[in-house]
Amino acid sequence: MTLKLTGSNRPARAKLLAWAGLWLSLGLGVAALLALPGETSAQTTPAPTAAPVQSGQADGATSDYLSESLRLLFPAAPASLDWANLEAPIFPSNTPTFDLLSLGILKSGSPTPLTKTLTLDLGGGVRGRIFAQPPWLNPVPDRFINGSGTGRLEIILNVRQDSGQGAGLLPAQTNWGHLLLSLNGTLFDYAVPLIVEAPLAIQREDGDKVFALQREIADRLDGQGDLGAFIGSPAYPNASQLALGLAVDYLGESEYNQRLARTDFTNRVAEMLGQKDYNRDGWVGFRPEDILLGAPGWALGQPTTKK
Amino acid sequence: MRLKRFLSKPKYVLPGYKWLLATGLLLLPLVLAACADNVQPADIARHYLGNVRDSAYTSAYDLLSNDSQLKVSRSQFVDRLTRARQEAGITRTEIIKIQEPNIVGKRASVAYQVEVTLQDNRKLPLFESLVLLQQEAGWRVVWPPQ
Repeated sequence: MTLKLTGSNRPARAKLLAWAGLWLSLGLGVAALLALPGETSAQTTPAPTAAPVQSGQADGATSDYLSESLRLLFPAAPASLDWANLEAPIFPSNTPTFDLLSLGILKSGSPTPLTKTLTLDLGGGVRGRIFAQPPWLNPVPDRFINGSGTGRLEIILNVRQDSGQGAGLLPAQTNWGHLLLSLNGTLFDYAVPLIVEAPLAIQREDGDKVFALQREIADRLDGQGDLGAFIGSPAYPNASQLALGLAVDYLGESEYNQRLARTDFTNRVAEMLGQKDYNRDGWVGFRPEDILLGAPGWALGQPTTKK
Repeated sequence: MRLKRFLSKPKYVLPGYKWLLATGLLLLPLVLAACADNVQPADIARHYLGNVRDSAYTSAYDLLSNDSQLKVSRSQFVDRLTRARQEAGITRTEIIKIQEPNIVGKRASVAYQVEVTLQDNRKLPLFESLVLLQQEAGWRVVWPPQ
């Protein structure tokens, strides 16, 4: 015997199916709640930027993280990740996420170190980190904690001038540094321009010489099909300006004491920007001996990666 | 059948001016694209630098790329550049040279030389470069330049 759905019993069957579906979905929902309590509570956590990380994640015993007292002694050491008793931070609605902090002008041969102070008014519980680029920009401290209430912190921005060791300042141009301030995971971006004076050997009327050398670098890259690297790349966002700075440095230092040929200089800078070994000498960019002749230490290249 | 009849009836044939209108609508995107200024990167750079030299930062802001304008508001741009100029003690800026651009696809760089005069009357030659992007509105300046 087969059961046929007739006009009279069709609504009753539909009703039965609907009830069964309802109970099944309710049952599944309860099972999900019982089985996954962690996920449910995480989804309801408000304010992602202010949400504290569970204190269990911090491990003061590891060598990477120091106690509060040791951190005061060694501000450069990594801060603890212990978020216990940390209040939610207060960011006023008018807090800009991008700002400009001008460092002014660095005089040529000035013996006085250039510093500038950045004052932060902190409200609520804040754990902060500051990341600076390039290496000439040195903020102190680069990490801090304001457990609760309001606090004022002065960050000193130091300009490193030890070009031989990697500071990377270029003469006769605006050098652009970047500070990335992280407050409990919220990022604030600061552009930090610093104008560096030209060496004495470079004057206003030397423009043609500087641009001619820069043109040679562009032509070298163009000849290799890499003119794009002269405009910008992830490694050198404004490569053309970098080439100008190096050209001023080379001409201002009497072509590195007359010991680095112009064609070699042009090729070194082109390789540096293109990040390729154009002359196939097994080295990309400036060689160690070039640094000894007068090329900036931070521009030291690297051996070609063998594949 | 209806379509055939519709097309065959002379009264449904579009009059001349309507064809013109329809053609105009079809060409509208092309016309809008043509509205983007065709000013070359060196001229945009010259215009931008002229504005910066004259402290006309509001006008300079109009020449920034879309991403740059998203990053910094007009009032913030004006305020920060004004302050930066004061803090550096720059009293005068003279544009000495603007080089021909290097263009690759929709990116260009324009090198230039300026001379800034400081409060103590010292003059500094500076050699800089702008990066420009070709956008719907034309070539626009990337700021900050690095």
